[in-house]
Amino acid sequence: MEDSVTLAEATTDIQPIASHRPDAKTRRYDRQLRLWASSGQKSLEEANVLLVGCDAAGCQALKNLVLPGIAQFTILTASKVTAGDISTNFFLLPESLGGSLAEEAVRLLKELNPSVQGHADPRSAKQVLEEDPAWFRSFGLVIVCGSGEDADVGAEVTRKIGKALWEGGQEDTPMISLRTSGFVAKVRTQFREHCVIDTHPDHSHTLRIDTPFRALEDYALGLDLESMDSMEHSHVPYVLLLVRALRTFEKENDGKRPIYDTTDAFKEVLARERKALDEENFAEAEGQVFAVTQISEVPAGVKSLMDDPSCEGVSKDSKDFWLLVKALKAFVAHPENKSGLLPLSASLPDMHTSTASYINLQNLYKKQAMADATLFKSCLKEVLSEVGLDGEAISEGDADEFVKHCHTLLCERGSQPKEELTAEDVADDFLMETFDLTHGVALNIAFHLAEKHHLKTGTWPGTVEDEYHTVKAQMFDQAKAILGMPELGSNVDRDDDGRLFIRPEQDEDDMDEETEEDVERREETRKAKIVQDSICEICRGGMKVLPTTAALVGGLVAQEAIKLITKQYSPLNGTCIVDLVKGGMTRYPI
Amino acid sequence: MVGVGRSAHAQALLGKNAFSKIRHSKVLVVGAGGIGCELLKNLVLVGFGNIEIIDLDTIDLSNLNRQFLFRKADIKKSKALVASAFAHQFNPGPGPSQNSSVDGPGSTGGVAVDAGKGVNIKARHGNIKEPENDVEWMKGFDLVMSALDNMDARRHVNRLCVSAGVPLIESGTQGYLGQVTPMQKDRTECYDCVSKPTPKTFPVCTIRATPSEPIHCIVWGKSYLLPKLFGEDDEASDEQELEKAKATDQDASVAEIEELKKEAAAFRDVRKGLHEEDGAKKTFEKVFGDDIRRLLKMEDMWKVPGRVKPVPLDYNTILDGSFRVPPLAKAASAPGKEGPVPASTSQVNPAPATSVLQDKLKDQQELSIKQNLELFLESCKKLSARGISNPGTLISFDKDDDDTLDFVLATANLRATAYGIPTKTRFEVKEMAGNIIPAIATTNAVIAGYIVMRAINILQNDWSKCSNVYLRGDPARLIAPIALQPPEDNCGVCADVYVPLACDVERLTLGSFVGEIVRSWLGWNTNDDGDQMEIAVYEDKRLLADPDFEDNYGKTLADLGISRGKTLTVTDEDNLYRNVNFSICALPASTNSTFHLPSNAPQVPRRPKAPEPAPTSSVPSVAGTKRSADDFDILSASSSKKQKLDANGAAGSNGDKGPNGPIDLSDDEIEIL
Repeated sequence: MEDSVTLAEATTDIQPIASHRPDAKTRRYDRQLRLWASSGQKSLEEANVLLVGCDAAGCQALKNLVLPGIAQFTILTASKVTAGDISTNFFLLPESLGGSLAEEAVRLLKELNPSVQGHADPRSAKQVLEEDPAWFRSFGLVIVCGSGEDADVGAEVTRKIGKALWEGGQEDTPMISLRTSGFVAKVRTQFREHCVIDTHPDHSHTLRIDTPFRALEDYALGLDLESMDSMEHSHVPYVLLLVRALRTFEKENDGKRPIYDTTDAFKEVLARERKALDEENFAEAEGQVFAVTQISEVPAGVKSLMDDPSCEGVSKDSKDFWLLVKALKAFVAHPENKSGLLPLSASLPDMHTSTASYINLQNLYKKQAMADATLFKSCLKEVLSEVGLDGEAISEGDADEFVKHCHTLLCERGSQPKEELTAEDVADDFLMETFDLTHGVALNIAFHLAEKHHLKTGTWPGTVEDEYHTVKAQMFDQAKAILGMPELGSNVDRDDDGRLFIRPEQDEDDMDEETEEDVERREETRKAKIVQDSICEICRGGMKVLPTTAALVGGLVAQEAIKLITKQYSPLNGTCIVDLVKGGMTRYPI
Repeated sequence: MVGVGRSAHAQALLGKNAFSKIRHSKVLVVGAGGIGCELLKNLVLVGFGNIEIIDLDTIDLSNLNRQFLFRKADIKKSKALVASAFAHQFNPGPGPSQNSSVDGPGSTGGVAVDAGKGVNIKARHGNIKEPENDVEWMKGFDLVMSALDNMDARRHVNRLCVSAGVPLIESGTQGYLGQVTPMQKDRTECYDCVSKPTPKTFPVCTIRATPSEPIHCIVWGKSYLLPKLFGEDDEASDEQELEKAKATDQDASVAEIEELKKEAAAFRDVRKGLHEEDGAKKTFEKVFGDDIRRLLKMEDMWKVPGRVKPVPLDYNTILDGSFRVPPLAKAASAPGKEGPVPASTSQVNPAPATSVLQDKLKDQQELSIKQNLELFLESCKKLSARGISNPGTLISFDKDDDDTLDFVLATANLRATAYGIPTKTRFEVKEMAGNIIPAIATTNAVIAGYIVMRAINILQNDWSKCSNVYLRGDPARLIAPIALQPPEDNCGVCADVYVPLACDVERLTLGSFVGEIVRSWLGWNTNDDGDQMEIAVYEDKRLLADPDFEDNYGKTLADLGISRGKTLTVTDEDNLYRNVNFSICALPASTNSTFHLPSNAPQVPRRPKAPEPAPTSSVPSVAGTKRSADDFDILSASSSKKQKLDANGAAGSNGDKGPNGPIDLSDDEIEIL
């Protein structure tokens, strides 16, 4: 491979001095390896991505996947390069005019990274859908472009590809569809199920001060604080101080644990062992009292995974993820796991203590974590043999990785887009996020209506001059119906072209005598205006793509693609509306 | 032809007026890195007519995963020049004539909109901090977009924009996080309104004698040993640093400091012998043998709790494999995500699963002590060979210079071994020593998209549509717009008054500056209450004059090292008024006078009444105490040192905005660990 020459060799002819130096590939990817590590990079380097249709936003998304080094990509479109394409798409050149859109874009995108393979497929997506819909499932990820620029891809093609992919069952190929119209855009992800082991949480300490494991408790209670000199005394780790105080407190309170209301009483117990006010370890312990009142438990998210039918009904065909969750459930219920909790994490936060005490404490946690991991692995072996799999079907390394992240597991389940939006959908899925009719919600509805219009007529709203205002008026009526909005307020009217306008409030003097009706009317007007603005924005944009919108959406799409491919971090599940005018971005579950 | 279709959409969507603005305005992009490449591409495609881009950096292999205007063949070339040449292809030909500025005379009405064809890109391979990039130059731009990677340069650009009154869009990314912040003096907060986390500093003795964490060893290798052997060895500052430490560091004994001084002196001999056949070996024996033995003799030093006595390393036994590695003094605290558990803690830790190890990249594997020693010898030889072929060149640490990285890696690990501290892999040392933060294409793309939107708003002077944008990893709310924040009352930068001072620095004396300019022109003789005003003059943090110090009055500005691009700050000793900053510019060639000022002196506003007696308010704090950006500092002086040196502002300058304050992000570098 071309990339296998290091910079040193290429520029100076000096041989690299030692084998520990990274190769050129690692050097090229250095800054991203620090984000998703070599495991994430490995997934990327195996990824095969399909782009259906080819507009500026789609190419920007591909650019952001080619740069970090996916294995290969394909662009599927039968369209030819137009002047408009060239003016918005960075990956077309003046001489590309009239050529195959797929071939031209692939050629220029490939230049970004010599280790990525690119293929141009100049067939029409419609034709492929008819002849071989399963072909789309041969890719690891499908991105469907959605500006009106590439006539080869409209609302219907997007919908059909979505269906073809969804029909893969549990082994479906995830899809990201995007649509841009001027300054606004919509990105939607579709997958049946996406499981993440490493969500990259901020930290993963599990101190368990409230329910100390045996060795920790014995060690804490066995300390002889009385006979320590002041130096030693002021370096007892706060974790141990809290465990001791907890036992004393329980003894003196009929076995009751401290709760939020009794923290002061607990602090008194803690203070009894304090020798001097300047003991930092005691100050630290006081600051962490909440760790005693908060009860360690299996996190709700993990609990619901353990109760999931996919976990209950594991078979040899299940994903590793579910087999591991099943083993986790077995671990929690296992008689040897007295805590009834998830495996302990070996990591400790920094604390005020001497090195000797710290290492002692750390060894206690490590030992327990190790024991938990061992027990978990034996549970896993059992689960594997129960479903008829080899005990080595999941490697020890993968099991260790899983244990490390078992407190923050994630399983997202996606959905197909709705063919018809109802008032209930809006209430359940849109307004729940914001509790109000926002521009984001209205834009989401407007995109939906624009797609319906395209399905019916084959044109995008705003692109046929003669019907510009009639289409807008239709969309407004449809949106009103979906939102269940009452008739327009008396001060709202429409002109001959269907344009909404609002008559200015009359007598300002009457303001203090405002009736409830007035308030209601104003509220309706406000909402009507939001819907109106959003529909106008979509129609004004005419599903055209602006370079700056394309750049942003391309970044966003690729970011979600990388999360889906690497199975790290939480991905977008549902629809994301981007509004460059307002600067915001909102997510909706459907 | 392409020209017909070019920017038709952009024109239609933006409207004629806005499009005309972006065609005829002149914008500056500072930085052609991750964000800069994306930004330049967007600006060209949207149809911006006049773009200047400046960057001092050259292209490195590790840029290619996101800086898409560069190819492998461009490595070592100027970022600014390559980026501009590449981007220009996408709107070829010259842009609109620069004389027909929108705000220019005679163009008040409808400005003719051209077809959006062509762009003027001026690319400069250079440092934004060079004197020629002064306030007058800055004033030539309608908007500045900063796409920088370090705090120091950001601050500089911020100050220039504040003094020139030019709007600035500040931006940064880090992994999946990013932000865009539009700013303008007197309208929004400036970059310095929000206090930035100060870079982590370490007491000098921790670094030089009593390390306890891997980072201490890395800082030692990078900031002490490397310069001592191959870089700039400043004896005087070294001595000074230790003297200060003696005065301020409670844990450091006088004897300890004396030992460190001896150690430093002995380096000069070692350095001389480095190029000899056994130079590297002798260096090793001194640094990891003799020096450690000398410190061990200081019995008292090791009685401080928490300190662990180091073990001297032995050259021969390490090489023949019989050296006994001392046990770890303290287990690695909270191992990093990439950090494998050090093998030597294995009392309770069976060997890690091999499948995990096999996945590790080459630079993520632990090196044995023997490997570290061999690496030390090799990198020493390589670095001293450079000194022989280029005498006089001083080598400094560069994360992308493999030899220096190897040297720091080896020395840090050897020192860590001696002190019972866990060692680090090359991957980790690079991150810690190079202040590397993750950087990816996607975040830069999103951020650059927003910058252009804000640029369009600002060029139309439509600040109502502007907001700050924060990009987060959280899928529920990826982009959060936040209203622009007002300027901070006590900001040490944007609350000040700025005046351009065109002058001949060879002729203008500090005395006439004070007399003719500050006293007469500015009118700082008596204040509104009729009291005599006492003033002080600073250049950055350097005191040039105050009521008790007039020795410099006879010297010219040039004598005082003040040139074009620098700033003279005048403060009122009673702290009643805002500081006045005179930005030094070039005098027009036609003028005969020594200096030239705007015809009207500014009305200098009073400071807001200080909140009831803040005990610290008598000590001017400020920008001066903030530490330089992209490096670790070895803290030598206590923070209570007299603050006479600080020029700007009164009480505690920057209000801490707490968790809601913007995060400070950088593209390539992070200021703190």
